[in-house]
Amino acid sequence: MMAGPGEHARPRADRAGQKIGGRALSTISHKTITQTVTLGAVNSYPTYGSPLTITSTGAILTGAGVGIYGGIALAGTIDNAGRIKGGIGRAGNAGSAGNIGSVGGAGSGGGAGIDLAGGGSIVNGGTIAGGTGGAGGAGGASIERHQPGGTGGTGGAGGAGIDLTTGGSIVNSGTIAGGNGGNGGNGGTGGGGNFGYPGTPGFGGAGRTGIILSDGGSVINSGAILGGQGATAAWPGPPGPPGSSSRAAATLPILARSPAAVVATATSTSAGSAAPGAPGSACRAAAASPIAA
Amino acid sequence: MITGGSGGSGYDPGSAGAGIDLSGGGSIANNGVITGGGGGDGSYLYRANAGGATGGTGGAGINLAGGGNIANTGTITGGKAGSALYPGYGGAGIVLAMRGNVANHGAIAGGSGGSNPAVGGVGGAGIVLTAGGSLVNDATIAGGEGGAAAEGGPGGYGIVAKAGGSVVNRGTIAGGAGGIGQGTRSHNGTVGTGIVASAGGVVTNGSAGDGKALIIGGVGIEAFGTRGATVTNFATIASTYWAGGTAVSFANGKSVLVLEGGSRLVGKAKGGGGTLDLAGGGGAGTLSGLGSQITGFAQVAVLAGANWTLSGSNTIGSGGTLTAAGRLALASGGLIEVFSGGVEIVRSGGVAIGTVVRNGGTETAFGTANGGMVTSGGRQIVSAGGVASGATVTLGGDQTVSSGGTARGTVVSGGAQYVRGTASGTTVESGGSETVRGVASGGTVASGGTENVRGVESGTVASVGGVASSVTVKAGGREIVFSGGRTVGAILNGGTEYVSSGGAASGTMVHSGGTEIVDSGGTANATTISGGLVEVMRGAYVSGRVFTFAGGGTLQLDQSVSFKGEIAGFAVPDQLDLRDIEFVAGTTTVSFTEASGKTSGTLTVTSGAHTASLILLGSYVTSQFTLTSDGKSGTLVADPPLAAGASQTTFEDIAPASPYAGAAISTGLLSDLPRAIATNEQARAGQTLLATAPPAGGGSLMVPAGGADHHPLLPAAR
Repeated sequence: MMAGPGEHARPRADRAGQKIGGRALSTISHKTITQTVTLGAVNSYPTYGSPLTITSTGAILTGAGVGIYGGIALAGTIDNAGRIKGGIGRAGNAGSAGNIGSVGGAGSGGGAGIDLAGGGSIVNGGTIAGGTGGAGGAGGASIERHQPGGTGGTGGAGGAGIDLTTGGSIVNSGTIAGGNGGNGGNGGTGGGGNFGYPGTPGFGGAGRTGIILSDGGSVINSGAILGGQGATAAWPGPPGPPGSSSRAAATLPILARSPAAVVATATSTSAGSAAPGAPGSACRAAAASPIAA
Repeated sequence: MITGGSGGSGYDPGSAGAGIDLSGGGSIANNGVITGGGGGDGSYLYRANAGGATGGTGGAGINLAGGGNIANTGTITGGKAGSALYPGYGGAGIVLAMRGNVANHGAIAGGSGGSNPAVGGVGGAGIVLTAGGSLVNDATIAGGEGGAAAEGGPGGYGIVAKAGGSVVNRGTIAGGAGGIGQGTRSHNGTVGTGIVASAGGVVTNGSAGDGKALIIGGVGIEAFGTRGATVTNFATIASTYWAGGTAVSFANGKSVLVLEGGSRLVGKAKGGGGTLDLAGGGGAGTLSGLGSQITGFAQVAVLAGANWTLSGSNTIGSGGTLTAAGRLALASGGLIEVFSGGVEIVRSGGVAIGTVVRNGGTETAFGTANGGMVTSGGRQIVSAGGVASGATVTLGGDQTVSSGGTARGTVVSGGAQYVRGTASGTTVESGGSETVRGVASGGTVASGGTENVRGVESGTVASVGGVASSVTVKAGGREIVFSGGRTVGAILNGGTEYVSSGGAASGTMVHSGGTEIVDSGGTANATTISGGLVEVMRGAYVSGRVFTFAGGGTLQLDQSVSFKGEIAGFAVPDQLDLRDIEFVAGTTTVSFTEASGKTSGTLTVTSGAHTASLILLGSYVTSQFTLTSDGKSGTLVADPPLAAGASQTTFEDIAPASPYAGAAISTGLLSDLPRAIATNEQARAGQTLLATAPPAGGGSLMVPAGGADHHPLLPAAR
């Protein structure tokens, strides 16, 4: 990878490249790095020694992949007052057009803001964010009459804000956010005629967690930690060719399921209870509280 | 690890990520903001080949998949659900997938449900305890708001405990608000439940002296599944739907609701066969609506040391048992009814006041039951060590006083009292009965009432039959002494005492209008006849027994020829009715032979065919006696009346100037001076009138002149 504008060609360890107590200290200040930074035992760009300090004027904003990566062999230490953001996932390829349009490619996941496979310790007073998932590719168009268009590709999941696979500790007074999911791809154009609908849009990508501590750890937070937003699904593709007999999705009315069915499904999933009665009370809690009287 | 999960089918958007995911456990201290991501939005459209889209689920604020500890003084919120044709549900504030601890001093809330033109999504739970754990809340935990729609979505649960765990609440735990109804239909969603426990758990709301805690929701607390939950309430558990809603709902018999004094339920409590404990940890308590607002509890218990007052109307019905080991009283106008298979048990040391036991209900007192009422079909059992005071037993009800039990002041008004223990002061009114196999004292049998004094009950280990003492039998009342039974000191004020074979009466006082009938085989001893009638039937056992006249009355001897008793105090206007001595004027004769000691003699009455020889205690001469027909073929023997024209001394002549006392009183005291005056009763030989005050209204005391022994202790006449 190439260093981005304003970046140093190689890291400066604690401005002097010195080691303290046998550890390679490093600092990123007054610069923005646009590629993945690797946390290591030595300073060798793009590897920065741990402990790594990013000052308020420093930033790691990768175009793709993880913002800061630490290998399994290292329990890294990062003190961030600047900005760290994982890269956006790659968009999926569009499906091929044909008699039956093919499925669009899935978007890839966004990169984590920080991914320390060997765990570690992070103090954050700045911003750490996962990247947005890549958008799914559009489905391919179907040429053959009565054939629906190709299904859109699934959006990629967002990247985690911080992923400490083997655990660690985090003290946050800034903002840590998971990446948003990528949008699903549009369905391909249908062939018209019966069943010649536009293709099914792809799944929206899942938002990702602000902090993942897969093997335990501790978090002390006085700032903000946010999960990533799930992606909005793609809307239906365009209707079939003019003059066709396609009953495109857009022509169908809104169809609501019965209230009871919706309630029962949701309730049983979240609490395992029998479905409560159908909604319908005119009283809202805030207005109806007996305690407020 | 991807916590947001995948999307659904067709149009489905993505789910959201958690704020923090500690899949390996750990600890979190938060005084900032942690928020789960929002679920993605989906299409509102429906397509035949793709179905409808489901909105993405909001991410959890914290997913502590591996357990651990969370201390929160900030804000933790689940993500908002996405909107779609089928809107998603909000994320939980915290998901504690393994055991762990949550201490909340801030705000924790579920995310709101997704929106939709038709039906809103469900709000997320504030906290989900998937595998138990411990939660202490000092601030606020709330479910997420339902999604807005024409039919607003249901609010989320405040807390969901899926596998037990403990919740201690000192702040507020609330179900989420229902989603706002929109458009012309505009129905708001239901409010979420405060706490849902699907597999047991322990919830403590407030503490002694701290009543500000609140658990509130459409349903305050709901527990279901097969494991029992225990909910202890010092403060308030409420439904947002007020009395029409449900504060607490249980679904199995293992669950327990403990209400401490001072606590409050707003809405119904549904027991599901569980237990309601009324405890004393919070001081005295007041409860209302037992049986109406509070239903379905198989056991309702007032715990030892507790002091509860029931107000309004309360019932214990089929399948219910009320146990009082503490104090259970009624407020003014309050009512507690036990009926239709219901049971109230008053434990040793417990007190129940004012219970009404009716059709099919039972109250058993090992402790104290005061002022209750037992009506038709009801039963009060006073067990060993138990005390029932002031109960009223009406028609069809009964009070059973077991051996070792005590009943005081019972009014049997049409019902029945069975005494195997001790009863005192019972009043038996019309239609009522008292059956004594133990001890009954100081009672009253009123008109239409019956007291049955019976012997040892077959099949019991008791060695002594029933004993009634100092019972007053009023006009129309009856005391029946059966074989093995005894009555001592009965006072017949117009009522009847019947001593049947094997029964015994001693010390009975038979006042005017009263009747004692001593049947064949019955025993009477030391009977005093004071205006009433004593009938000694053939075969009655009275040998050596003394019948004393004290102010009129009749001793009827059905078989005087074999009468072996003694008669004392015979004087005007007393009568002996000798039923077996036919009266024939000029044929039937009387004579008195004084004994050598001059303190008694034998009165002989003979018709020629039959002769009675009766022992009279006192000094008499033959000329004192008169014989007349009793109108029933027998002979009536009387003391002669005062001679016409004899001088008399009035009370004014003998009354002291002031209340007089101090003189020695001889036997035969007649102390009821006003009554004596009212009935113009005369003092007789061997008797003394004690004047304690002049008679009210000025009556006169008639003292026959001519005999110093008629008033030996009265002061000299003025």
